[in-house]
Amino acid sequence: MDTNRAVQLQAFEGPLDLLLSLISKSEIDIYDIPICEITNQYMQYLYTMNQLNMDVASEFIVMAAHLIEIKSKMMLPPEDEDETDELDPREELVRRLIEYKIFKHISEYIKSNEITYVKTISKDPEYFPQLKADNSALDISAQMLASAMRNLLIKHKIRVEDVPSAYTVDSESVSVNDKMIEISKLLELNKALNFFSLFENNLSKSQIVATFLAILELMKLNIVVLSQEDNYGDIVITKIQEENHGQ
Amino acid sequence: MDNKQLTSILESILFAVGDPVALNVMADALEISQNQTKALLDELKSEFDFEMRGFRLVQMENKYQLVTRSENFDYIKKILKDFNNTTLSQAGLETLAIVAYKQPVTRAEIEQIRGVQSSSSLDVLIDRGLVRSAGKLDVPGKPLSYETTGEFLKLMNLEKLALLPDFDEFSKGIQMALSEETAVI
Repeated sequence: MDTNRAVQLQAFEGPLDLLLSLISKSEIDIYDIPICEITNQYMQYLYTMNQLNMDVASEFIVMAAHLIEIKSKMMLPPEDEDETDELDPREELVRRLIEYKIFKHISEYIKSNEITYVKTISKDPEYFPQLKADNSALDISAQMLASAMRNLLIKHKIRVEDVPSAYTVDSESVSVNDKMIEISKLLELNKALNFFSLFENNLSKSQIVATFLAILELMKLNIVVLSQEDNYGDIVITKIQEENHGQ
Repeated sequence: MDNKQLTSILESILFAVGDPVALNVMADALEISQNQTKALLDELKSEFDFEMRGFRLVQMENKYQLVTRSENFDYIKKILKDFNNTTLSQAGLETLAIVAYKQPVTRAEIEQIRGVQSSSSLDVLIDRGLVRSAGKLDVPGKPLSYETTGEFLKLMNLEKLALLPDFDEFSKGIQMALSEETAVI
């Protein structure tokens, strides 16, 4: 192999993507793939990847084995002379390649629509701080918590834009433990706490994170439960009663 | 109330809620029929477009939402500097294409078509609200299946899923391109 040649390795989504690229580069008829030639090219690619110490995903190896299997099947004479309509061993592979090619084409179509979509903004659902009295519990998924967290961080960031460019930075240490104690104390005083109210006082980023982690930790320790009445509504934190908890 | 007042209320509702609002919810609030509500919304939508207003009214199945006009994005971005508008990766787009046309589809089926692991792509799509779980399929192993959401319709700028171009259109296009390539050889 010419060692001077700059090795250009294109990234492929997977073995099917690589095969399609090899087929189109060699101007091969997809319905009549010269399996020997394509297998060689395919193996050459994997070999180069290996030489460059790149991780070859297991899917690529599986396909290599499959190609070799097809190759060997094609070299063998048909087992039964009478069985004339025996399937071409390449047929299944060709079907998969074409199906994949169609979906690649559809993904380009989706991408063309995405250009406008990413420039379209919709408003967050309105947040009403007034807490409704009866909170029928609704399960909260990790996803909902994560998106609540993300919203807080984004809002915080926008607010930070208003801060003057030069100011003194005080080192600040916030421990999750302190926050847990703080929330527990608040829960002694109030029957229920409002998730968003915990983040109201222009907290720093590390304080927001610590508060969030503290809530998760309290949940894990079965000290509090979270409930949410409406989708995107406020999340209510309530203490689990001692008698239920202790025994 | 005349139509002008009703339209004005609809506009306020859509702004206040922010999230997509269902047609029947708005009709109930206005105490008018769903047909009349739909007619008013359609009118509001063309008014927004005709006058190049900053809002666009998008419809996703039976839900409506106010969104900004994409042409104005560059100016909004000057203020919302951290606005995250990253596009999907090729893996994400391929996975989304498969979910769109094969739904309800399992992860295994997606991976069979793509020939590679797709769980992280699926996670990204779920996180972005483009794909959601469609429950367990009634086949051995009861695998989870996935489907597209209203947000996907927003991405495709379609009012309903039925308006998605036929799979055969893409399929025929590819088959024709392939046989042309062969003919050249």
